[in-house]
Amino acid sequence: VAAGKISVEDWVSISNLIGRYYWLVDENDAEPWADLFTPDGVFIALGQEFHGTERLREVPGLQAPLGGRLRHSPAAIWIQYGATPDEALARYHAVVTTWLPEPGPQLMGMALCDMSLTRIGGAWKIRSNTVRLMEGVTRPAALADLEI
Amino acid sequence: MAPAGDIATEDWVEIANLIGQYQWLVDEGDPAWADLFTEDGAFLSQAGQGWRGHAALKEAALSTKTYFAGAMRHSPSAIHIDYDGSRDEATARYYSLVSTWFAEPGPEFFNMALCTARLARVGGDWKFRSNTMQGLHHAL
Repeated sequence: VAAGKISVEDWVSISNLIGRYYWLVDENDAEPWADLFTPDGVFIALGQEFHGTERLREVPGLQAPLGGRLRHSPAAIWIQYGATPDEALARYHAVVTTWLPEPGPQLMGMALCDMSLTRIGGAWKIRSNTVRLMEGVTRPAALADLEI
Repeated sequence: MAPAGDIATEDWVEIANLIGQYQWLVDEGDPAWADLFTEDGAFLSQAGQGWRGHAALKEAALSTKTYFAGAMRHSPSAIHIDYDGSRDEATARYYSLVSTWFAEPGPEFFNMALCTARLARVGGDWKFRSNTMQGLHHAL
């Protein structure tokens, strides 16, 4: 990271983009969601890579069977510029919840996200979003001894 | 002490970003977390117990790796920031919803931490002077 402290305008613009990103994907609005990326943008998650606008349009539909009852809640947003102020890295996590009648509300996943962005024509676009889903973490034995 | 006016947009954003960085670093067990505090900064329970100074704070960050292996995450929300006596001091209050994501027993709510962070502007950057937690489930 070499380009100094993130500006207010860029922090707000990128945070707003992250909000839009989740509304669109959670509502299965594929075309505008894919348009948040550069034409050669990539979404990496669940062991798959979706490169380019056509493939990106497939992503929102993956959760369509849940009928809009899966929601991502982003938090802990930390944004830094990259090598120049026209590149940025946003780190955040998204708590994934489901709200189906059966079995009721559930914590479904924790998505750790590294989003790379670039400014094109004055607007921020996503070059890549690499999502690491937290799963299979073994509970450390030491935790049993923690006095809380 | 008289308040120093409404928080400036620049300061609100910088502190909110700092809180995001703070949660990332502690959840990853990264000792760089300590550098977000002033030299005499402290991470405290309501009873005033906890870790004071960079050396102790580094240990606190590393201990999250030992106890939680990166499977504990803090989700901050309801961030509310006011200046204190001057525009170089501020108090940020926020909730931190703490969840754990172990394979067994699966995802769980671990705690709701009510956080009161006292901050100071040092060399143009905001730093934590202290962060005091009130846990609604686990005391800290």
